[in-house]
Amino acid sequence: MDTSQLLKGVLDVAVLAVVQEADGYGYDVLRRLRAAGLEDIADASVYGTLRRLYQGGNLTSYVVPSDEGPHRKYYAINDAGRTLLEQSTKTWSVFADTMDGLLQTRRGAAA
Amino acid sequence: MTPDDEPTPVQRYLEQVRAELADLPTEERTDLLEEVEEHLADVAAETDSPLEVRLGSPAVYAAELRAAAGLPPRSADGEGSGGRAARLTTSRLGQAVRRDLARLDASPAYQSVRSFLPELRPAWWVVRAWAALQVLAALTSSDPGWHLIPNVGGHPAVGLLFLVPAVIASVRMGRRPPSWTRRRGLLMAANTALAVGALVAAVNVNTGQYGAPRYDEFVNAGQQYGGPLSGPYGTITNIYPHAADGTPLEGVRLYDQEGRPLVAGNDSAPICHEHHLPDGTLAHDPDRPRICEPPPGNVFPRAEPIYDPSTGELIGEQPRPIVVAPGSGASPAASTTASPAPSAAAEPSASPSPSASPSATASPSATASPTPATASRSGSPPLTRSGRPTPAPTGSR
Repeated sequence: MDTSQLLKGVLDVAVLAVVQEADGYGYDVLRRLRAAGLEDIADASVYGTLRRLYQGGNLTSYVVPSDEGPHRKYYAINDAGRTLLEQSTKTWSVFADTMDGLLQTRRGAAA
Repeated sequence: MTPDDEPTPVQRYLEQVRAELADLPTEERTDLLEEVEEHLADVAAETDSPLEVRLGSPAVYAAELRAAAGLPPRSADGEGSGGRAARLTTSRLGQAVRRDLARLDASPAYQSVRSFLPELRPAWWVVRAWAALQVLAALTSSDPGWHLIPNVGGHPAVGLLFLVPAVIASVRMGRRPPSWTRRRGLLMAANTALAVGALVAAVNVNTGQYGAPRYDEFVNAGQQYGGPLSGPYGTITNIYPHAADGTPLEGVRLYDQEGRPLVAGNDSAPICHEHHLPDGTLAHDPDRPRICEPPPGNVFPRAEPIYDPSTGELIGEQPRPIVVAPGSGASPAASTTASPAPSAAAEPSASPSPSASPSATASPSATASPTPATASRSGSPPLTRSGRPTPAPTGSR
């Protein structure tokens, strides 16, 4: 199965979860998602998702001056974001359970 | 170009992403690009391999960014997001189109093609320089033919000379997108025009120079038969042939190097095997070779009747001009040809030679008969070449 197609649906909740854990700038969020196992994630899609969540009012941002290199734009979760994350987590859990159940039933039938 | 001017890989990539986002509102684009620049710098700091290896082509990158940011896919005409793309999304059909476009964007085959196309850019830069010169050649050369090396000013050597700097300029233009992005629309229009021009030129190779001659070329060839003859002194309206010994010749038929009859003055064009379409236009029958009968006008000297300008009555004929035949003793030729008096009609009997001047019956209708001229020494057309430089006709095959 093409993981990148699955990622599209869960990118929002994944990014929200990473940012809730700790504030982060784009590349930092990307690295943490990869480290968590989402290795197929496309760089640009993480930046796009951060942008969309920020514009949707689910993230706030602040700039941190850097001694070396460019200033970093950090993202932080806000209340709206936390609510969205909670809802999305529930949706995901129900969905994942449903899929698990479906696949386990079939696996049991095949065995 | 100094090394300072050379854009870094990050700058070049960023500029191409910027171009892909050109249709977005300025504020939105600026915000996105700020982070893209940061991202590219981070990636470049992490790896030495080209950005494309990690991120895909700038076009793919921009498409992913837009999709994830919830922005519409790039509109083809570069309108702002308030333009066509936004209007499309308002209708159900538009949403379907958008979904299909997004699916196309996401398909691996499309992405691999899209990321491969930029690899072909250097080839396009060369082709575009060459196509520009072809256009220049078409404008400066009277030669309608098509040549692989542009015939600038009618000379392939000049074209070759132009080709080298043109390719260099084109490649430089292609390698420096930043200074050109503002004129992207103009550049794209010029590129399109050149691509179309090259295509037309390529098609012409098959239909024009190397292909079967077109019908209008036959027609033009036919018209050339009827065109005026010209010599070093201007238009030739009549020819007075003489034999090597100075004897004036009558009824000589003249042909050019292709065996085509020469026609002087306003006499009729050759009679060719052509047929007429129902609407009266000429059509060339490819099954039959185009053979042209000698036209009445290729018998020389032509009779040139003189009409009274007031009554329109035939009052005589143009006398033969006085000729001195070289190499054959001036006196006999001069005496025979010098004979015509101003009253040409009375002259024929007075002339010592029976063929010294056009006879009264040598009217256009009489010469129109297809019988070969009897006065010609060779007897039949075409004439054999005379060995000596005389004013005699030198038609040859």
